[in-house]
Amino acid sequence: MKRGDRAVALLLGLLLAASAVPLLFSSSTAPRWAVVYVDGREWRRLPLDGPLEEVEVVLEGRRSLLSVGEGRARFVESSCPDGLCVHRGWLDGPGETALCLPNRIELRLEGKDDREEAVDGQTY
Amino acid sequence: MTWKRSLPILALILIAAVLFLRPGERPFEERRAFLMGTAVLVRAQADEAVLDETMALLRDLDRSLSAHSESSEIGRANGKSGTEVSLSPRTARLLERALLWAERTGGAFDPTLRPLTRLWLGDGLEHEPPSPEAVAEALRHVGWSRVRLDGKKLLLEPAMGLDLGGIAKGYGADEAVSLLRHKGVSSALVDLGGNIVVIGERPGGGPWRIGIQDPRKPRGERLGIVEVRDRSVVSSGNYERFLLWQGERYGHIVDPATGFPARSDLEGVTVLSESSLDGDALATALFVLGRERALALTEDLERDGYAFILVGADRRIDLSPSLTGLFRLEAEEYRLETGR
Repeated sequence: MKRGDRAVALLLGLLLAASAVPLLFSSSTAPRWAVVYVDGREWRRLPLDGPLEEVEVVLEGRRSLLSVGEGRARFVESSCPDGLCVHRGWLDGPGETALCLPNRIELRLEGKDDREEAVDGQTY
Repeated sequence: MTWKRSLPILALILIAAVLFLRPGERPFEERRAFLMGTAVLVRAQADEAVLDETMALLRDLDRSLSAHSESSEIGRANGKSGTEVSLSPRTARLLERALLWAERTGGAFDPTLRPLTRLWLGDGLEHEPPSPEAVAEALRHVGWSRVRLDGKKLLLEPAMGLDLGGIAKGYGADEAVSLLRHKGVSSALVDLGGNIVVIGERPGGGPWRIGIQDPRKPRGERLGIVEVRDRSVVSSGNYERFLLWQGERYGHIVDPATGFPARSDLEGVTVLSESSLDGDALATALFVLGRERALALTEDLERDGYAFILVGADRRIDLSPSLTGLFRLEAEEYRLETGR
């Protein structure tokens, strides 16, 4: 291999290595945000890596209390009749959601996830 | 440098270009709303205008199909039972399809259950269950075969009523997907309260991964994962909505044969189909039929491309042969039966 060839090969090697950088970052599995949707619109985006905090959501007089932090989130209380959102318990994986249909509130953990168990949607 | 020696370098350039530039990846946009009494999500590799149009379509369907709203098209038709009414072409087509499934399932799915669903679920989910006399009286006004539908003209007998709630979400998902395809969208997921329909492949490529609800666990906890392309996935069961009275649970799926909540040896039914409406009607019907009669029906349907996951109360899961390798069971307390 001539000197010029070696330079080209080195350059391409560097280019390949650089192209792998975004792949490395995108394979992170940790959820980073708890996103709260109220009536179909994004209401708040809360960081998951802070200490546990309680967040109150009120829509048309209906109240739900969420707990977010330490890498997880959940409905703690809700004024809905069925309590399904509270029974859902803690969410701790990216893509996991808890839903309060009567109060029209959705809690969803967001983060890139290439784990085998990640899903794009869920029946219920 | 000769051309032979430069080949490896050219190959490297090509690989680097593909990895580095990642050409043509349009971002996925999404819209959320609460419609048809449930949470709606549309995620698609499409322009924002296409998503807005899809949501407008779903809002329109929400207004016309609700059985609970007297101002909806179905509500108005129910209010005029005994006289002939004219339906919109869309609602007429939906009802026609519903009646077809009623016939094919021997009435296990019945779109005329309104007198009974009003009795069991009309006042929320916490009240005294109706008396056997009231159920018997309501049952007299139920029967899909007595619906007269001639094109757009509908005649219901007096006191009869339509409840298309069991298939409205599926129909909405189908219509949304049809619009997205018409607009040239080749990758999307539409989720209408757990009725999921996917187009093409997921972001990044490969089949979409859809979690199946564990019928014994709170909403969101999975039985397993199924991998799909261009399919609808619908689950049904009595696990979520039920009337609770003095410690007794009454499921929300009413058996058209008895007028009472279905007592099934199945706890959950999942249907994979091209149309989500078909999946909706079938999931309800198979649940009502119970395992033995459901399996007899699914054998025929499997030949037409449908696939099923039937979860029994005994924790046996009957899986369609075509799902072998596509469904991965996660919940350890169940056992898979694929030897049909």
